[in-house]
Amino acid sequence: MNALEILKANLLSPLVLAFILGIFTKLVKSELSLPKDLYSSLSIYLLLALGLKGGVELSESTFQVIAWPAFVTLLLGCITPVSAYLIMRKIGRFGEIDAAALAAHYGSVSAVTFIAANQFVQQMGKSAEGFMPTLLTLLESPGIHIALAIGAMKRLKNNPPTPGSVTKTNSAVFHEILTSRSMILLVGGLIVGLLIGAKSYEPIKPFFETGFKGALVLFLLEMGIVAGARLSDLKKVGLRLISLGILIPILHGLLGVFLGHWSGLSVGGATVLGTMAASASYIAAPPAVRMTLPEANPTYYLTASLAVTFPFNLVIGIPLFFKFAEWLNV
Amino acid sequence: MKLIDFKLVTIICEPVLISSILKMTSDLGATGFTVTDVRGQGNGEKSSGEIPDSKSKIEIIAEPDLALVLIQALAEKFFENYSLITYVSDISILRPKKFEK
Repeated sequence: MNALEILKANLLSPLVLAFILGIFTKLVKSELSLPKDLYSSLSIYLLLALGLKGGVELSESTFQVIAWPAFVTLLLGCITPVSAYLIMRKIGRFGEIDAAALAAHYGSVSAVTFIAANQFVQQMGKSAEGFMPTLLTLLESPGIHIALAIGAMKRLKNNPPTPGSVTKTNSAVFHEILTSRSMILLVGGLIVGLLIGAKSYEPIKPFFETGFKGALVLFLLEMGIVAGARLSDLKKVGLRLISLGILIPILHGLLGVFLGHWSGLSVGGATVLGTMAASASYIAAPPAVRMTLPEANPTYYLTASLAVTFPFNLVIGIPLFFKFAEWLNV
Repeated sequence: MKLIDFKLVTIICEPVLISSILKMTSDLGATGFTVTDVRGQGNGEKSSGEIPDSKSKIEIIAEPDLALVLIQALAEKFFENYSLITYVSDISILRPKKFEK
């Protein structure tokens, strides 16, 4: 398949079309939105299903196979928050605190983007390694912490903490991220999957796998609605942030694919790792940033990750990283 | 039965603040709270969270002196960087002892 055909196949996938339908819903000012509880239930289902399946496949992998990919994933987790911070500071000319807040989002991972990438490579006949969810959990946390640490240091340098400050301590943030919904479900699911193995997974498999893609379509519809609601903020954040919201995922994604390929991942695996590096968190990072860097403007980081980077990755980023991974593999 | 004058402190805030606010009000002497998920939008606010207009409403019943302490502390700690509003209304209750710490 050439690049254009891949792009077209992706654009006509149910996930992307559901997302576009969600945006359309907002554009025509329809009152449609998924009930909040359904949205939470869907995300619980998707994350747990992802963890369980990853755990079962992990139980069949060897340490040697995972060691290098795990190492480069941690490496990516340390590079991406710093590179995102520097780009936002130097090219975007954002203030130190806003740049750190944005970096926390770009250093972390969006689980939905990850799932979408997994589905895409599967559709292309190049399924990723089964242990990818393990890498997702490795990449989730360091990015947020490094970026928040940068922000906290800059803030300390500029104005020492006041006694009445509500700023959470680093350990409180660490606790919050480790016990967040996505981490508990993903890591918990991984451990449960690892412990039960393929045989005990068999009876629950129909529930967690048959409905998975359908649930994902519903989830993407709501994501489209949420992203659509942020579209009006695009004017507020300006062209600079919009361009950086596309440039950073391209840089991080290509780096991720390259490192993934170097560590021995297949075309599918390298594509998914690149997409993880390219994605910006919009569930774990916003509350952590809101509590630790309250001066940062939420409109910047929410709009950038939800209304720019997420759609970009979903529509163009994933096929692009796939093509790059294929090219490296020739 | 006699009705006693009391105060109802209402706080409408970003959901992310709930735990910090409840810890603070409890430390200052509030004995309980009610939290409801609500929706709404204010003037020039910094909205956060995945769902833009999702807010939380915290209600705390307190005796008048405590109500003042609570809103002063809230204003000092949260007004600058977060979007929240607080107001105090007059209410009547039956059992003041229930709200003593």
